[in-house]
Amino acid sequence: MDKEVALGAGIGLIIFLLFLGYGALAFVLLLVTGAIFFFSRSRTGGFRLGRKQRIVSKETVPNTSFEHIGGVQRVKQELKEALDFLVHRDKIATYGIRPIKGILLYGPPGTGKTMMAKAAAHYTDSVFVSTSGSQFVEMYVGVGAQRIRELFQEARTLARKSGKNSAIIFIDEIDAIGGRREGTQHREYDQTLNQLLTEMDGISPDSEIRLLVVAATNRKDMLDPALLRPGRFDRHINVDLPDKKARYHILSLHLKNKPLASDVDLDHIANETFGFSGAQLESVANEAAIYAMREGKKKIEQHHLSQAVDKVLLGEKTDREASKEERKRVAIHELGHAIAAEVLHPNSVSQVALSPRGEALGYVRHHPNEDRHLYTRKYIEEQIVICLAGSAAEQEVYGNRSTGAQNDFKKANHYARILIESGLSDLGIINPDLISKELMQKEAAKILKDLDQQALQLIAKYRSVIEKSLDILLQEEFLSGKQFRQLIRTYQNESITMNQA
Amino acid sequence: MKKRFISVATGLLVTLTALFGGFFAHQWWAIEQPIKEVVAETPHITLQSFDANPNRVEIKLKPDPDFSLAVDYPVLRQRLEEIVGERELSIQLIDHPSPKLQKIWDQVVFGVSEGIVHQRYTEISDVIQSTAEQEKISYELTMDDEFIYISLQEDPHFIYRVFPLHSANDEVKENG
Repeated sequence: MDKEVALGAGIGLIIFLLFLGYGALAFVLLLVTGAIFFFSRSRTGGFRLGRKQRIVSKETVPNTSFEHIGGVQRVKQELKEALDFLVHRDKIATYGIRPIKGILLYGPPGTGKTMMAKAAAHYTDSVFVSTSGSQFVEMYVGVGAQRIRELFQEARTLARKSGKNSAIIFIDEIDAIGGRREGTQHREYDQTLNQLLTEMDGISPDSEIRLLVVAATNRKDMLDPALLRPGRFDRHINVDLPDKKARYHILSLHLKNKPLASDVDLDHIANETFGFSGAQLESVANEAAIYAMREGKKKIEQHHLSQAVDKVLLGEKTDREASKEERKRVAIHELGHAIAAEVLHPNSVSQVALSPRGEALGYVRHHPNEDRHLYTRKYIEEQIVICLAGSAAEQEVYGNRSTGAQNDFKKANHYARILIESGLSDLGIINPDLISKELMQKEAAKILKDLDQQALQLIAKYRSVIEKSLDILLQEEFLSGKQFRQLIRTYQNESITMNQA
Repeated sequence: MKKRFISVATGLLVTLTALFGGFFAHQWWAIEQPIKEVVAETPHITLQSFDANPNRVEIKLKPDPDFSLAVDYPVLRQRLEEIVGERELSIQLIDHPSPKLQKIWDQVVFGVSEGIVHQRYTEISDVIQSTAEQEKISYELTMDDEFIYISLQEDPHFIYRVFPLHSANDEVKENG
């Protein structure tokens, strides 16, 4: 702003000098102002060395509160407990407790770490200053360290200005500056980190304005140990992917401001979104609303939400037009998966679809009956069979296989690896680091071969189900779980009798 | 972008207003007004026009027949120069010649110019005196260390000429 006014004033002065007849002087002035402008513009350095370049978003006290964050009760509880030290100053003084200096939030992306930090500021009625690790990285040595100093200074000034007695500094993606210091090579961000460590040490318990540093990362393993020790980041809070209850809560929060049909079963959607992060759930709510708007419906209905889940999981429907023959093959493949899934885990298929979406040409969606964190050998083997059943169905019908099963095999291999590494294979308990790759591969191949045989047998048993459902799937492009189970029940006996005959 | 443009424009406008406002105010209070006052105080002469720019002030004065070039003009010029300061002062006297006076002047101008170039100033006086007597007109003639002032009169007509002494090769500045 000042710069622009100065520019205008400069031009005015030059015009005046020209009027007075001092042309040469005006020219010199023009050159000087031009040079100053150029230097201050062209580089972040120049005269100011990027001093005011840091983009800090400042909110005196954010409006986000813990009530706005769905689920993650345990995390909220833990965070609140840590924050209580900021709120009840007198109490901690009587017990002689050293206030917590830093809280590290870590966990997968999109789980609401930033929201947590904002809610923390709201909870403690603190000034909130947020920045991100990468903003301290610059080509000039020492700039990062300087910015850390300024950040802390700014937080204090801001708190003083708005009459608060505490401030929360939030550093997102702290791994950009807090990376492990190693080797002899001296890097610029070592200085930045050193400055951060010093500043955090300098947070004294009895100062007028209490500072709390909240940092977020999804790579806790990469952080420097000095940063993680007590006295720096005292509390490490794992913000994990939400469980079913949390997902329900998050979905209901995001759907609160959207018109929802009365028959929507949020519990069902929460069930289907296993492994979704908070951000993904937000996206589901948003996409569902977009679908409803596209269809011109007044309210968001259940199938909009289901479509939204598919979209977030697999990507938008594509226009790829497959040939009739190819479509038939894809249909057989998907039916193979669906049959194996339904036979091994009854009631698990939620839909079979033949519409290309993202990378996939067709897909079967399963809904897990409950969130699981532990798996038995039998369960994983069944998962592998489901993966292999698509290709087995192609083998059964056509007598050959196609490249469409690549992704399935990748998944099957991943499961096989889990089996071996968890000591559930015939190799027994092993150390994955010491075992040779060939041995690992040999064992995986053995597992997969056995299970492929199982898949082939299973498909052969249900061949008639495939044949009968094929036409319906090709025509409708979509089979709901209910329809599919009906088909299986109808043709199941038929195929068994056929096999016996 | 628009906001930045407005800032630049505001800066420009304010600066121009301040600088030019100051300049013209100074011109009005410190130059034009005093000149007008001085001219008003001097008898037998009125200000015809005033024009000023940063390096030069031009004034046109209209004298009446009673104005004495030899007596009144040098004093007036001195006072005006004090006001104008470092700028160049150009004074034009609007005279009122008859064809006869003009013709007489055309005759004497040779002798006058010759006298100035050769710095023989008594020659000038001789030439004018003889011509005036011959033509029966009155005249006034005087000089100071800068100019020679010549006026020829035959009521109600008059002709005024002011020649610089030391810059015979320069342009004739005061040839009103």
